[in-house]
Amino acid sequence: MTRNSRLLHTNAERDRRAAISLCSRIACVIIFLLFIAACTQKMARQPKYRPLEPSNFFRDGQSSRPLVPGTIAREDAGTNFTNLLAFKSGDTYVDSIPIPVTAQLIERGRERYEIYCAMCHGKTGEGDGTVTGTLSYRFPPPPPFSSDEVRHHPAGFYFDVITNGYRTMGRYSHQVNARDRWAVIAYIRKLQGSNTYK
Amino acid sequence: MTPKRTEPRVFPRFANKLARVIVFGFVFFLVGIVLVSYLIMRSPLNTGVGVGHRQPVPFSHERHVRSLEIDCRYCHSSVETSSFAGMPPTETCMQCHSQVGINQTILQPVRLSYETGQPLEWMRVSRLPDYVHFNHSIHLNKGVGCVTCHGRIDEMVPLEETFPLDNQIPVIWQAEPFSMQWCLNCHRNPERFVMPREQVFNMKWQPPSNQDTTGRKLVEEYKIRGALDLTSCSVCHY
Amino acid sequence: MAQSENIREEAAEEFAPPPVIKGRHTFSSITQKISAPIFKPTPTGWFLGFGLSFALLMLFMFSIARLFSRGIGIWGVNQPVAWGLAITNFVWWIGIGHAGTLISAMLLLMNQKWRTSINRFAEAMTLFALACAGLYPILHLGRPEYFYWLLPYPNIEDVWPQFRSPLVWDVFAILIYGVVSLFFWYTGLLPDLATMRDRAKSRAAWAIYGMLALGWRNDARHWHRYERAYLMLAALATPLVVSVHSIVSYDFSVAILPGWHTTLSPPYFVAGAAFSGLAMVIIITIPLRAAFRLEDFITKRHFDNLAKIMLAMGLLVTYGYIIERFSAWYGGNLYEAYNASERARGVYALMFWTQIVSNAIAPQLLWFKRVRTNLPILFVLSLVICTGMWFERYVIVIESLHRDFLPSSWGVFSATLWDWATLVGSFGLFLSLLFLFVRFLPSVSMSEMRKLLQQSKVKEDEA
Repeated sequence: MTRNSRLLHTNAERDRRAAISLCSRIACVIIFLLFIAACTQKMARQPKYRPLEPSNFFRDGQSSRPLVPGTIAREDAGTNFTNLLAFKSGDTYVDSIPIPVTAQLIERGRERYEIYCAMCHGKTGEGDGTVTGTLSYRFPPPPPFSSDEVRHHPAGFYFDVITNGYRTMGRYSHQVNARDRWAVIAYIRKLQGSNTYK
Repeated sequence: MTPKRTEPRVFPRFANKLARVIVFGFVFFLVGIVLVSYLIMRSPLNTGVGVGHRQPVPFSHERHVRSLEIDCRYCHSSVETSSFAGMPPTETCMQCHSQVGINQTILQPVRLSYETGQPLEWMRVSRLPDYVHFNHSIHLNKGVGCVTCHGRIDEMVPLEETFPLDNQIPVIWQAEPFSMQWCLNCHRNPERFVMPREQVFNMKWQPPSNQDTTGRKLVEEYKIRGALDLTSCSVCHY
Repeated sequence: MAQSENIREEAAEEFAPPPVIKGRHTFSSITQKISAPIFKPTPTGWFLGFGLSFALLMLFMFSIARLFSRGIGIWGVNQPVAWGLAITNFVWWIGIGHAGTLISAMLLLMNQKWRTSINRFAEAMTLFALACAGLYPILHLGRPEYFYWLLPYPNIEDVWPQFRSPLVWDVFAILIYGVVSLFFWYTGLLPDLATMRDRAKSRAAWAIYGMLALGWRNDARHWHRYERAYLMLAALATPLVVSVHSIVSYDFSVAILPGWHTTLSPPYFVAGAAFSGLAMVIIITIPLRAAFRLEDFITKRHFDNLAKIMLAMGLLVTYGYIIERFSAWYGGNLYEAYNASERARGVYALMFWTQIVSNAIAPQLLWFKRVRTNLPILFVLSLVICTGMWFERYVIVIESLHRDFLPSSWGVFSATLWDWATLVGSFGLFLSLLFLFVRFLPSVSMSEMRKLLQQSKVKEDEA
């Protein structure tokens, strides 16, 4: 009697288990199908080049093309065109900034200076930027702008250094455009002035 | 009416209960499927929030941005003028690393890239579908800061602080889901998120307690359009 | 003596309405008659019919597979006719799907006893027609895998259906109609499924019918609840008969296109739907009655009544045609008037005149009782009406689209091979389901027939 009832019980138990497993299997399949439907859309990846994507078409393997030499930005062209890249006349550096030096330009120079120069040259131009130091994992500190040897360089010299690099300093032509370089120079001149007469 | 049968019954007793469970459970099942798929959709599985990415070089934003106070634009130099923030060429890395860390093996890929001219292949972290046109410059110029979308990049330390670092360590992750719902959150109420233009590169900026009034003022000052314009389809899908 | 009695009987048959149940029947003979064919070995004719339908179904599947892999470019649709055969077929099948609920729910509420023997398969037909119809709007999507975007569900895109669009109302109207029709049909089936379970010979059949019968034991309590639920579902389904095709008509009439933009649309569409649906019921009833020898249950009176309703619907549709022309002229709208004349004379004039002849002129034959009770003629007439109603939808959808406000955006639609394959293939789906239905389920309601027999017996006793 007890044996029988236990048998019946286990049979019912087995049936119940089987039913539950079947239901859960069906549920899994349905959920899986829903996930497929929720997959990324085709239009999310269109056959076009996103910035800096590699390309098999060009020999250098890059889809972004370098500027043609001598390209001038639209805002630098026009009727009062000044050659911003002329930092030398003949063999000597020019000593003037070829664009009008306004408060606005100096402000722009300050902003660019603090982005690109201050971490080495320091916010006041004293050569005490955050990355400099005498330890091996620090950058060798540059001379302060207020020192005599730096101060007496003509403006064109600074432009040359920013554009082409100098000693351990690399070139910044790809990070700072020509107009901004002159703005930075105008700001450096201001720093030198205030630091000299302090 | 029912004819008497000698065969064993087909259905066990629990079939009654099962039938009821199936009939009534179906409604809950449907609701459950919708709910579960919604939860999965908004989980990091789908949005990728907080999922660490490895890079060819274990670049630490925390070290460069917080410790060394390097401005975002030093490397992402086109962010103010173009839709694409810009990834630094190897030359930018070498501005410092020509002198700093010249013996470190983790910087080997950088040096190799500089020598061969073969660019480093950084892994993309913030990816939008191609049918969305996001423009970095307009957001920055209208007072939407880096931190609003990218989170505290300056606090992203390599996930496993093991030394020496190698390129198997996840170093950066997405802070926000970048779903349309998330975008609309700001496009519907820009005054809640907008900040003064001078602050957009400030990683520590947080909405002040009077953001309600300052935000509204800034929206007016920067001529940010109303929600009806900003939520038009063609603002992002064009 | 015997002769005069014969004459009297004939006269009685001639003038009195034919009975709803003919012959001498008992409860068990009704049950036997309806359920026996299901337990007999499958006849060859069924295999033939099902094989043919299945072949068509495979054609349907193949053309759908091709459609999904190649895109809707395999159809003739393009600007300006972006809704081609798919929407024509959709509206037509939805219309066919109206008769079932009309017959079973409306006539149940109106206490029309004669509906009993035809309601079961009319409802089944409704469901199968809805299955065909429901596919087309999904098929004609450029990206059919996203059909569920029509439903409001929580998502991280904050995308929600445009509830001001009748296309969204359509989804809800059809879904609700489908669900209510299914429940109505299934509820009606329950007592019969229990009968099938009890008469089943194999264990498998017993288990399957038993599962479907949901434990029906002929209990008085069961009957009490069943009657309530059935009546309630009928009351729910009746307004749906009117609402579904009204909303389908909004798909057109809410647009400002000449030929679509008219307040006439909802009643005109509903009448047209019932018209074509009844025609389809007759088309299916006639061969079914012959195959299952159901002459005792489906009598001439049924066909007479069906034909009368069909005639009434036909007259409503004809009224629609007349008013459509009239308002085009009376409204004084240049585009509307041009569209009306273009229908009769333009590229699709043949379709238009087919529609007029088969939907407005041919049904006038139904005024004659001889036509109404002559099954071959009724069969052919119903075929003509069904075809005519398809052409009506063709004219409404395609003709209206092909002439826009600007002549620069005019164009002509011509269906491709795949367009036709998707239409012909849908008959495969419809007929395959129908063949499976008549093979495995009682196509006439046994429980209701037994009840009807009891009621007519009581009447006889009272008389």
